[in-house]
Amino acid sequence: MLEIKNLHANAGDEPILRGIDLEIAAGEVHAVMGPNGSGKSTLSNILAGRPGYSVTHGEVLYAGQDLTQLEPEERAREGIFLAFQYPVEIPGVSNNYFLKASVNAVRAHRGEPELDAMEFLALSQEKMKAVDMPADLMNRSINEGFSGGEKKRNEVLQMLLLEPQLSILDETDSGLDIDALRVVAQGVNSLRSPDRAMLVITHYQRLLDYIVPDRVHVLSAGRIVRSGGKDLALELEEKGYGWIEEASA
Amino acid sequence: MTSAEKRSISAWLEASARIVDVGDEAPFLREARSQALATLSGQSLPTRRLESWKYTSLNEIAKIEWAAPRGPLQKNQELPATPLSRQAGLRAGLIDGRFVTEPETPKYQGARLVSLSETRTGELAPSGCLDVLGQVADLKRHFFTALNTALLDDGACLEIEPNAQIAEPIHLSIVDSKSQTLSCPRLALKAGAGSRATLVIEHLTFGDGPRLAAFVSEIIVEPQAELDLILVQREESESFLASNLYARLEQHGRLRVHTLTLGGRLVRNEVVSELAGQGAEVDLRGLFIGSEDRHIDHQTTIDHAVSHCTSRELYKGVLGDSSRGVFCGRIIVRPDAQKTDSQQSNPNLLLGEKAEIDTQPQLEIYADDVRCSHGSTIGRLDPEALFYLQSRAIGPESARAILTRGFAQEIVETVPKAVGHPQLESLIAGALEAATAQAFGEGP
Ligand SMILES: Nc1ncnc2c1ncn2[C@@H]1O[C@H](COP(=O)(O)OP(=O)(O)O)[C@@H](O)[C@H]1O
Ligand SMILES: [Mg+2]
Repeated sequence: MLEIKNLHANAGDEPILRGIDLEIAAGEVHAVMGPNGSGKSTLSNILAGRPGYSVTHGEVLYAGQDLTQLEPEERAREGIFLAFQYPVEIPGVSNNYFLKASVNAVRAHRGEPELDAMEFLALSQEKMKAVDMPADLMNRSINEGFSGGEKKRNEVLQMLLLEPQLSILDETDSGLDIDALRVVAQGVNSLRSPDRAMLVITHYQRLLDYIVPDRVHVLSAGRIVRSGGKDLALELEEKGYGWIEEASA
Repeated sequence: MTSAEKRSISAWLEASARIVDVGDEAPFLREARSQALATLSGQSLPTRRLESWKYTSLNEIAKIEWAAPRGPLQKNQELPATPLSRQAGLRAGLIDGRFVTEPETPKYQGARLVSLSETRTGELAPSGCLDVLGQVADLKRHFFTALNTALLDDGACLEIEPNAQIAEPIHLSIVDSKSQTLSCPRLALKAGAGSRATLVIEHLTFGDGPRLAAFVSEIIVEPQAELDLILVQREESESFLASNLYARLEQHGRLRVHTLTLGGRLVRNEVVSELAGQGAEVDLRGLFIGSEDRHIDHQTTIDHAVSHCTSRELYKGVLGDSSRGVFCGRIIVRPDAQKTDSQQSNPNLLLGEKAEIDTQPQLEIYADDVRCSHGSTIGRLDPEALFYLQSRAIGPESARAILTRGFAQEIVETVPKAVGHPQLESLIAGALEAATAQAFGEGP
């Protein structure tokens, strides 16, 4: 589903990613771990098409097509979803209005009829239950005044509503208590299916107790320095990132 | 002189100096008019050489010859119904400055809305309005207030009875019906002690051609009264409007003014509020939306005369095309006004390449134990927010429109629900569409 070949990329004018190779097949969940500043968010931003991040070398193919040619909204319509590490607060725009516009943009792209207010209400209520989100958050402005946990739940809610083919979660677990972590993991797991793939970025092993990955990659200074099965995460937890950095130096 | 006679403003000024009273005027009115005439003698339209008119030129107004409609009202004048007026209980209008009411005005509990000319002949004599008219406005400082007063012969008087609690909005339409005509609508409003009410003032024009309205409102908010004013300025694109609003707040009086400037060629708003009684609170909120080469100028003065008063001020501008905005927010804290709590903010969204905003706070603080903050920003849409929406499949054009509406929404949110949020939002959406058509027309 996703093929990243020798990817070099800049954040602003800074070279951050220095040759990443990563293949994720449909049905798989991959975890990317790594110390702060290693380039995890840069990778997810490149995949989502955030302005200010550019590919300088290499390829990113999604379902066989060159992802870098697509605008962010086209990527989203094609089934790519990024759960933001820092969700943006947007005053004056109700969460409900936003999510309905988003769902309908994807539906229109798929040639499905748009949902009316009642249909969307039913759908959103069902998904909100799944992430244990209080009803009033729908009528509030997007993420404005939301707690850290509420923002992350809101990201997962959006993921459940859009049912993406490829979900990228950028440290969705950071700053969450154990209950919130479970809710997030349940949401992710409920989407797992043979035709979807996921890239779960995390700083801690903890999340991977709940979302069990098929592969784990360790990112350091813009390179994948180690890949392995789910046990790699445990080893990393035990020995710390210093171990990897030393090993790869 | 006949009502059809057209003159330049300066010719009007000369002529008005010769206008002697029309005979049936009450003494208080005669006095106000003669003061205004004295003030105007030798004056002409303000020019940009004056500090307070630095950013706003009246040249276009000076070039046009205007008729001033005086004399009796045409028969069968009808109050226009608008989506906002349909939400109202009590309503009336000032059509070309003339008071018009519904054919059968129901007796309304707690409020009286009558013509100033009735007041003046003493028939209904709502004494409250006589305490207000000419008592709050500043003839000397504001040219259009002097002009309005010099030519005054009708207006609206609204008196809210003490302790009346009126949930339904009261609606006053200000209509300029004739091309090339100067009108001088006037409002005197007294919110009686402990009362609560909402007044919507909606400016409309019908038909093509330039109009000039010099609108003056004078307001007294008595102790513990709570008054919401919503000014909806949505004239056609050739209209000029000077709206000068003066309010005096007594002890624990509360006034909230929403000024929504959605239309007009040139709109100049003066809002002057005097916090004259301890514990008074004023909240000025404005949304102004410019498109094409429209010009919108806000001059506000909040005068903290006594201690323990609160003022809040938030004006948001959305300027498209080559439109131009001006915001000058003056805050005076007098030596006695200790424990003043004042906040002012003026964020602006510049959407047009050639759009401009001049924004300046003007703080005059003569007391030491006060909290005053102010800030203004001039910006474009937040790229982070734009990317967030795009990453959720929303195209850039829709995303920009959503964010712009979101920017404006903050002002609408505090308007009392009974005024009609969907109605207001649709008026605002129309103005935003005009302002953003060019800026967002071609997405990247
Ligand atoms: N827009 C940017 N411009 C310049 N440098 C950036 C930008 N974004 C991130 N960086 C830098 O890139 C490096 C990697 O950041 P990031 O990808 O956010 O790491 P991680 O998510 O692994 O903590 C950091 O050193 C960070 O300071
Ligand atoms: Mg990061």
